[in-house]
Amino acid sequence: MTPECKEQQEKIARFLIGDLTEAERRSLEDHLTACAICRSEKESYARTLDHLQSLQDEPVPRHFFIHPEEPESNPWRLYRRMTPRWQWITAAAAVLFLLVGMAAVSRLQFRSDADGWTVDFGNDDRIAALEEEISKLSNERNLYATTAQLLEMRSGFEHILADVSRQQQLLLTALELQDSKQTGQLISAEARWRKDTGELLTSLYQNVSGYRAQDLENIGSRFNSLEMTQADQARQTNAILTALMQESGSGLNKTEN
Amino acid sequence: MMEEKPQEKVGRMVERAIPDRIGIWAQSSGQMLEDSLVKASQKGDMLAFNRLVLKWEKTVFNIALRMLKEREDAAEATQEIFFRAYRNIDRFRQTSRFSSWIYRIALNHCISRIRQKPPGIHLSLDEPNGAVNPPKQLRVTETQLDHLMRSEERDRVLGALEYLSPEQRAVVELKFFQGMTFEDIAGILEIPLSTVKSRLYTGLEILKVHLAEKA
Repeated sequence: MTPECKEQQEKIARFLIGDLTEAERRSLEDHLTACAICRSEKESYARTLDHLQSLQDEPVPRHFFIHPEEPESNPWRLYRRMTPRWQWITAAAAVLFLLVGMAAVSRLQFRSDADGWTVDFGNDDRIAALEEEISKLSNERNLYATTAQLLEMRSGFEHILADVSRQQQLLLTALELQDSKQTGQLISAEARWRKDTGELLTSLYQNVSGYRAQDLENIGSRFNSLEMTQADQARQTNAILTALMQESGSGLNKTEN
Repeated sequence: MMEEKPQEKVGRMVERAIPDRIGIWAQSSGQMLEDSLVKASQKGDMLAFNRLVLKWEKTVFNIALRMLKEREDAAEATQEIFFRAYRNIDRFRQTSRFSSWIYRIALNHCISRIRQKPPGIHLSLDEPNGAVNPPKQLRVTETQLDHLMRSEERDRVLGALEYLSPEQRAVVELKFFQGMTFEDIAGILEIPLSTVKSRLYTGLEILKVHLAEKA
């Protein structure tokens, strides 16, 4: 198969369907006259089209009618079926209903009274009264809650205080006990110290007294010896002086003489 | 060759012209009737819609048959197509033809049905002349022979069409069985003209392999 055959064969289906330009058609026809392979290809396509055209329409096995009971619940369809005048009326009614509904829903109230539940659209006075009542109830509730909280705190504090007092009492007892113990110890220690100190002082006094007596005695004897020495020295001095005076007197007499 | 007399010539021209004019008149009056039926259907007239069903059911059923191959599938799909058309008749604008609109619904429905179908071989249980339950003894008459041959040919063509993709099948259907132009096909399937041609010629090549070359 030549490249030209390939090119022309691509046009065969288009040729049979009538989708070629005049020039393309003439060119293909010329080629088909000369080329047996491409003619055969054309025959194949032609047979294919014959087969397709041989297929006849089948009769329907049954009718396919739509029955009234078939589901058809589309509100938009119902709307579309109306005449334009009724469409306008329906649209206006729908808008009005929507607005009234929105207003009603915005003011709708559910209340529980003594007789049961009450549903109404409310008015300003009743709303104000209800709001006041709600506010009052809310305040009362807050007060009650605060009181309960304070009572609870107070109870807590009382418990804490009792605990503290008890602990304080225990501490005081312990301190007193400790104090009494220490006082007793101090007293006994003082007594012991006094006793020890007294004995010590007594012995010290005795010792000191002994030393003092001995010292006095020594001092006395020394004084005595010193007095004796001084008396000896005085006598010697007197003897010397006497001697000197006698010496000096004999010299004077000689001079005067 | 004997020369034709002027009277005969005129007579023949009139003979030729009258059916054409009757055809044009019938066509235009048929189109007007269809338009009025569509309008009535859009206003909820179910009877008017069923007159449209009566007119188009054979075409739609055969489109479904060529797309889906099995008669039961095709019948079921045809009923669904008309339900869908009835539900959406409000959306139909009469700037286009009702036939184009119903073709579009039918082909789109068949394509989605093919895609939902699990792949594999599908054998019909109620096919008396099929390969599964061949008749053991058949007294062959000429009519029956014709019928058998037609049936065989039909099965061959439907079998060959199965080798095409659903999109190629849709283009082949509109071109060969509904005789539409490429432009109309592109409009109905909402695809470019080049895609229409590409699908058609590729489809034809596949069909050639299975119809002409295996014959």
